[in-house]
Amino acid sequence: MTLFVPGPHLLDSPRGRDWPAYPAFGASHPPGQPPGQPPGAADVVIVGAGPAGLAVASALWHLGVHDIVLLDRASGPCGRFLERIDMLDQRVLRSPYQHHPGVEGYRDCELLDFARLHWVRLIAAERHEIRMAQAGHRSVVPVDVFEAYCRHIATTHQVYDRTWRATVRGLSCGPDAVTVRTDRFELRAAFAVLCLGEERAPAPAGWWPGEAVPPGVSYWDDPVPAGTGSVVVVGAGLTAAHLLTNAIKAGQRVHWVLREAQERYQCSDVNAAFFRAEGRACFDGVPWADRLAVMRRERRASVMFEFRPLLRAAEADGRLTVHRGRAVCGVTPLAGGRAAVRLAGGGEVAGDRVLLALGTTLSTGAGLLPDHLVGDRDGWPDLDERTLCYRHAPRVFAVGAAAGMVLGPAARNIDGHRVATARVAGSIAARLESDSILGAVPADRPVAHV
Amino acid sequence: MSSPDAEAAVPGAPAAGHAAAGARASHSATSEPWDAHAARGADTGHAAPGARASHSSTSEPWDAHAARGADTGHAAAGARASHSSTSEPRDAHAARGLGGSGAGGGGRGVDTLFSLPAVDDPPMTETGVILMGLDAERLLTGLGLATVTDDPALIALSVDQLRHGGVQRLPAGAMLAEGTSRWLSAREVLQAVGGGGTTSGSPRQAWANALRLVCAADIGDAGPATRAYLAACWLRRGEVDARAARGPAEGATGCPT
Repeated sequence: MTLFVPGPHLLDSPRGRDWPAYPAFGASHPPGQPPGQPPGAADVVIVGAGPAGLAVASALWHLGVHDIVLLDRASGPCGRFLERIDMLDQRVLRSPYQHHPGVEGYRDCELLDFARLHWVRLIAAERHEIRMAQAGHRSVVPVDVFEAYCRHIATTHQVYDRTWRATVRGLSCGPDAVTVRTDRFELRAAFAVLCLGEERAPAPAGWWPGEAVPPGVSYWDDPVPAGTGSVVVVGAGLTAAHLLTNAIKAGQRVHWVLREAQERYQCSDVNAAFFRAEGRACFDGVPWADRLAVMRRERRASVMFEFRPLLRAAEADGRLTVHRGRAVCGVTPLAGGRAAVRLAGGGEVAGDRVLLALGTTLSTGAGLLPDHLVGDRDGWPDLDERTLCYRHAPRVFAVGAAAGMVLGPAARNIDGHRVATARVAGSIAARLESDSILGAVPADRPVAHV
Repeated sequence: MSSPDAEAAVPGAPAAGHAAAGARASHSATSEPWDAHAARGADTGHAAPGARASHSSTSEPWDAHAARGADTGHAAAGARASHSSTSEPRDAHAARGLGGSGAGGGGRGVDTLFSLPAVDDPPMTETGVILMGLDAERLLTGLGLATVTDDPALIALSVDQLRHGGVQRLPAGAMLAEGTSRWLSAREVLQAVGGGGTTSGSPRQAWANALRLVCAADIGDAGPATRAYLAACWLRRGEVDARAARGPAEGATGCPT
């Protein structure tokens, strides 16, 4: 067995490089969002323009489905995704190059080749990671490269021209169309694809009285006040690791509260088998109870190996105190805007700030679709396993974490997006071909071979 | 670090053109995206057949993975052998015949070790091994686009964008016509300089040779992008000539939008 323990230097890719403007677009690239409102009707509405939405739009483009509207609450394709990454000062993605093979089945430039084409802009460590990827090894992807690649893909498939900023309030499903209601407008589509991603998990009820977050307590994506001298980080995943690392580098005194007896380091956030067919086979036609069991076992928080040297060194020299095997039962505000974490079994850990990184909850479509159409089962939507449409709303599809009980735990990752996208886009294109209800689909819909 | 010389020293390496053809055969069977995969297969000089063998023996879901494995130097089987023994002493490694018998490994006096291409090679080399795997139409369109900008990597991506349509300012068909014209103008000059020179089995060395040839030719005031695309066209001249003979109007030069 070969043990590969990557060093912390891999986490330090530069951000904000001066990527060149494409000659076809000049200095105005990337373009802003189109003005005004989208057309009142489209073949497909994609709710969420993150990496999953971008993948769906690109795949549909290749299938000749160009009458698309993307709706996103943030600015531009992948805008919110990158905003949150930058909030953590995260410089590399956990999904390695191998999981970014681009639009399934088409000749678009893949992320790895995109990076190679920008060789001159990469530092030596980033170039080395590319060589690792070429050799079939796990290799980390710079966020900066990923963002530039997303711009290229969005430009190539004309996604900027089709993305509008809007907060979607709900979907109404009819027999021949879906009506999407937003805070600004309504539009009607033959199909809708929900690429909703995940939201931060809230603290359990009872950690503090009332709903408002008490003073001295923040979620990971809230700003931390300047001058914070000590922090208590609650959580065991990659987000917690970034909070810890940032605090240590800022010279803060850091406490890390872990429910598990030991922190867990892993290359991917799920076992590598789930990024391959044999992993997905654990879910394909398997009894529901068995899938649930696999999910419970596999969806555990973990930290990339790259963090281990720094965290261990900080613990050894006293900059970091790790409270292992200590469940949290509440948070208490203290005088002076400070706060303390109450530990089950007694004891407290106090700091200037308590930072909560408690994982994520998947967006099932609840709140947008009526409950009976979501068909919630153990927290998962009821999806058709072949097409990923909602079984009770066959004109609405889900891509991303919501497809987890069909595709396995990797559904939330880039690789899962690609697999889901292939199914959803193919299904929509085929149904549009045979769908004469809207009368907007030419019989000779061209399919692009680029 | 691997150097062009080290790559060339590998016995049994097929010509780059053959390697690329093998990789493309893999592509057609597996719907590999982008022709750059062909370059990956060709990146080693050993390419697709070995990669496919790896695929079938390891249950990898896509040939793409196998082709990537092949990118390292001596096809996937050799790459895996290397993975499992990277910390072993050089002699032990050689004695066991690890490193890929398909590449002539295990023989007395033959160094079966390999390393990944250097990370400090000129950026143009990294771009070049991708360009030399692109199809003829992309290369000719890129040669046309080289009149607009002088960054060969940016051109490769821009060609992708042009072929997807939606760029009214630079239609793909016009760029293909321009590139075809430029190729036909330079073709005889390159032929006169390069003649029937040999082709290296190492794509990186083949690229360096082709670039040297273009630089030695009197093709007027040509910037780096023009030189790069002419070098890639020269390496793929059989297909490029055939595409140029068909003229820009024939066939798909873009995509329906």
